[in-house]
Amino acid sequence: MAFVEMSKIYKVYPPNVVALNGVDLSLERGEIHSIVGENGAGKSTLVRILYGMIKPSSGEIKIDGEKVQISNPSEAMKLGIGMVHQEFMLIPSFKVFENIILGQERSTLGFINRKKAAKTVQQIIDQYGFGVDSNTVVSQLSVAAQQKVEIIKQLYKKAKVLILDEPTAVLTPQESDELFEQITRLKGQGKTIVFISHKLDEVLKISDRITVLRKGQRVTTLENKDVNAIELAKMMIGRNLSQISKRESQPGKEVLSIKHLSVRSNRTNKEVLSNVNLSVRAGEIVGIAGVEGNGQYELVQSIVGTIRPYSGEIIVNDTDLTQAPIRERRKLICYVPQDRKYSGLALKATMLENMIMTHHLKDEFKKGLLALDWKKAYSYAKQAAEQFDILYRSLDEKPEVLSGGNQQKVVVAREFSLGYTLIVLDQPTRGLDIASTEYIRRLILQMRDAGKAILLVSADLDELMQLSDRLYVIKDGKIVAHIDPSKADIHTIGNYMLGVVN
Amino acid sequence: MRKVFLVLLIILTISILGAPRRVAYVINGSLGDQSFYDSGYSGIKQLEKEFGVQTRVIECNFDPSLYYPSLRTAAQWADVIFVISYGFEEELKEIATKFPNKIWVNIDTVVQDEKGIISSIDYREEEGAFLAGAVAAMVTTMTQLPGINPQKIIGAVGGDDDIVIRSFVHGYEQGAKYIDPEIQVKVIYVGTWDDPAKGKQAALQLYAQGADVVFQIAALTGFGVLQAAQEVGKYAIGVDSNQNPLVPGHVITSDLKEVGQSIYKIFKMIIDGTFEKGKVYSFGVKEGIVGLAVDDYTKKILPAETVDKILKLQEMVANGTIVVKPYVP
Amino acid sequence: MKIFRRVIISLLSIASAFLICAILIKIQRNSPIEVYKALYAYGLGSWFSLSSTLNTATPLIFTGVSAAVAFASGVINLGQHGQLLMGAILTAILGVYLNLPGLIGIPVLVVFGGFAGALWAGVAAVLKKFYRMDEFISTLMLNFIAEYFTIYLATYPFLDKKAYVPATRLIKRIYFMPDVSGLSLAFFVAIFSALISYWYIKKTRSGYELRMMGHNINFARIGGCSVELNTTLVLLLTGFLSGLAGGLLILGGTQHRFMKGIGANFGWDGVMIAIIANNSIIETLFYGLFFGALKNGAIGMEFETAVPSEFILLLQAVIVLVVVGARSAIEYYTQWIRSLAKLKKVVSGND
Repeated sequence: MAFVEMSKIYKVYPPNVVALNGVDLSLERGEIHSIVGENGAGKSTLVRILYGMIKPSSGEIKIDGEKVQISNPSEAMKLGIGMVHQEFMLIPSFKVFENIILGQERSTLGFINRKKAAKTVQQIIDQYGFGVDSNTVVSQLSVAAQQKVEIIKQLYKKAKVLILDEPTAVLTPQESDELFEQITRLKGQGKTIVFISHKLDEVLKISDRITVLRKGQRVTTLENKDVNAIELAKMMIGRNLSQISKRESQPGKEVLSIKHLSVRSNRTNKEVLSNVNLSVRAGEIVGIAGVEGNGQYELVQSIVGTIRPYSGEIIVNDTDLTQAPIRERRKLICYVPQDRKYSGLALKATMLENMIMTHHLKDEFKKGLLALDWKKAYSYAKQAAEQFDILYRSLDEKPEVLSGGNQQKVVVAREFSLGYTLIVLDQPTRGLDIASTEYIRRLILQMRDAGKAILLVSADLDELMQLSDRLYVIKDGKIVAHIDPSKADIHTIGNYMLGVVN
Repeated sequence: MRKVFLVLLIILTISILGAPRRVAYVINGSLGDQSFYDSGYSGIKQLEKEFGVQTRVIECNFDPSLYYPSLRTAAQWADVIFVISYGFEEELKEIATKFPNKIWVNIDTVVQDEKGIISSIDYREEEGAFLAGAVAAMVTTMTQLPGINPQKIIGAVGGDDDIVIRSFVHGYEQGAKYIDPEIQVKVIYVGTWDDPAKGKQAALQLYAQGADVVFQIAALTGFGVLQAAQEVGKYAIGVDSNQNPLVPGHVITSDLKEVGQSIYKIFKMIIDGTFEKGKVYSFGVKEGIVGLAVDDYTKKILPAETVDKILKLQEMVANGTIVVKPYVP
Repeated sequence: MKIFRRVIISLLSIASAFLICAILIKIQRNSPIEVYKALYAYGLGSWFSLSSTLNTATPLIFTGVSAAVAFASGVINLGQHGQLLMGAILTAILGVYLNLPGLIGIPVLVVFGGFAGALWAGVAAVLKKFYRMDEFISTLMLNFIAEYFTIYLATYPFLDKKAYVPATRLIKRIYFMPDVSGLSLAFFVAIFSALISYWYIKKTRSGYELRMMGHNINFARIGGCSVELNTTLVLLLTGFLSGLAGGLLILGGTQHRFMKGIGANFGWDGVMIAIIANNSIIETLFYGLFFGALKNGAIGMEFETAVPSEFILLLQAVIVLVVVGARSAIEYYTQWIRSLAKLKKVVSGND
């Protein structure tokens, strides 16, 4: 009999988003069980149901063969189920042991014996070999060590099942290896580990069994030895990955030229971009690679105009835009922002209103002195929505009811149909399903072939390698390398990103 | 039995003669001030009891947008309309002209229309205030009483800085100077009629400046004055209704303005047929409508000879020995 | 279809509010039918009632539209009260001293009232632009300043010595707003202003930018909307609307002078109406008229049934709660029901 048995779990988010469609999951004692799937496949929803954070629409959970209702995390805790989230929930100014006993204080007459508590915690730490000092203040610990504290906290609460939600996303490769060792040790002590990841190599490295989810359904659960990465990927996306082919680029005249651009942070007054020089020509895709937070965001924002540089020049089509307001810039630049919900769309406005943004500055949509030509706007929006294969019911509909992929297509359709030569893309495929990602990547290439100058910022190295004609690597606000991706491999770029080579 | 018969007879005569059956009392402020507006309300209730008329009270709660519709609706419904019209004299004239067959009685101010439809009850409030000022002046010089300092300062807290309040203050000052020309009178206008907290604050300020007695002329706002007197162990004088029992031992007397009595008096004239449209009825100490409330509460605070002196003063005002000058804006 | 749904939701909510209040009336041993009959008779039942209702609704429509336009643009202008007072005092003072023929004088005075309101809102705009002060706070605080400043003006420098309350002198007769058998022309100005505002916010390019700012200011900014300029514009425009309310209150109301308390609760009622109307101008118009009818009918109701007119405040409060509550509740439950239906479909599809 399995230790934990989840059967026929359904979850429908109102109004009609099916997140889980009759998923079964069984966990044995002392196993590492990975759950893999694309974004939106339902991995997080499934484990959150087990941890009592989300109520399933239907389905049942059995532990040791007994049916249980888990309606909140503290009930999950009592049943021995613990979870480590991607965001840590630690109090930075507290010591390690204080964080661990928080909410689980064992006291005599209302007094906590701090020495004893610290000792108990240290015992657990040593028992599992975590190598953390229980008296250190949490804010002084590295991210990896903080993650360990989270795990220890669950062990202190006597967790028998430990859910780790994308634990390696915040770790360096070496730290990941250390984490895997500890997980294996925990398994040896009889704990059950649920490991969520979309990095297939990690999954194959440590799992005993793997459950594959796709679009809210369980594709299969299989023994690790029965499968390889390619097969797993195929199960995840439901078909073979197609190869995007691209022609040789034929760059024309320079469209975007950035010279000696430097930007200081408003808050800290530190330089976040220093002396950046780059150019983008018509008919080419120029990629910007870098570990996130190294100045990519500031670079894009200075081009679009939400950040004012303190020195340097930004020239688009021979027009100096360095000090121009956003409104003027948007008469020359197509721009897909990195967060469509933050600035790409107004989710509660209509599709039409979303599609006409920035276009409304054009003369062709003016009617009389003040009015907007809504009839023209409507026919443009309809035509663009069809051209870019947006799945929608009506232009009066709100984008909030669309899937993530379709929302992104609305942004892309709007920006690409502006028709300006310069296109700035910031994480254009982040969080999208594979089909939408592919679709958008093909569009980007089409735009290049149509003679547009494209600046592409992405955290996805594969994407950059696949699309870029030239690649700049940015580190600590400086351009550290200028690379031809067809002649370099992903590891060299990674080394530049990490600052291993200069 | 005889009384009942008499009342029945009166009611019968009224109904036969088409006498008023519906009375409305339209006020710019709100009831619950335990003084001015409430005093009028008690008169209205008395009409209901004694004459069996139907009555309605419309409170405008100081919202000018309600004045016009309130009057207009009152005109449709009632036969006699008693109005406290501060600030809506123009509306009153306009509507009274549209409904000239109704009986319009304006209270506390004088409103006169061209056709002589509206009658007014004008109180000689300066007479009562004179007496209040005299009492205040006497008390602030009686250092043998608890809480009285040697300084010759008395105070008053007014609602708005307007004509009626100014004439109160005018009379109050005359009374004080009548007793002792050296008395200093300090006045604060708080600018609100329904905020006891502000009234209290103003009174506390006056007490701190050395006043021993504060005269409240601010409707519900003035209730805070009485509370302040209790808090600092000083004295206050109430207004309009008998407020002596509200804070026993600290409210020496009240400057009565028997609005209810005057309403009753006027209504009786209407029944008797002696009422005249367009006339200004002036009520003061002589008519027993304005005057001081001197009762057991007063006697507990003041020695008997002082009480006698007060009553004597009141008589002198009533019989014309003392003439109080009215306020001229 | 959507409009139909909104109308239904509003009507159902109002009906249930009336039902809830009927129970309360019953508990107080009065007859709800009599009460509502009187409310209807004195609120809408005759031309006199109807015209009074429309007159009462006039300032509510202005302040309501002012709040709705501001909120829909994401600008939290809560200064309708102060802007109205400033409009009223300027119109009242000019109405005493200005010498113009009535035909020209009336529109000039009205527009001056609007400018005074706009200027007062403009103070908030300046504070926002140069000192980054949130208009939410500044407009709120400016209300107090306007309140005391106008009372000061009416109590001292411009006091009508013959008035029994702090008030300015009566404006010249020629500036009294004409009426159509009791219905002030001010009402038509209100309707016209609401329609213009509707057209502006719905059809113009600038109005489009304003609405998008209201939905998502980052989206609007990145999309090239002149966010700063628009914010200033909204403050001035909505201040102007509130100022018009004040000016028309003097010219078209019943007082024809500025007096203490003349602003009543129009500012806050306007904010409330905009909230119930979900910032839609057409709905604001409807609720402005509706609340005008309630306010007006309340007095007659009190005469006929002796139920105190304060009851209307209760009814209003219940309506606000039910309408606003119903909007999200209906949304929530329809989604919940749809999700159940979907679940059923998926489960049966699998078997």
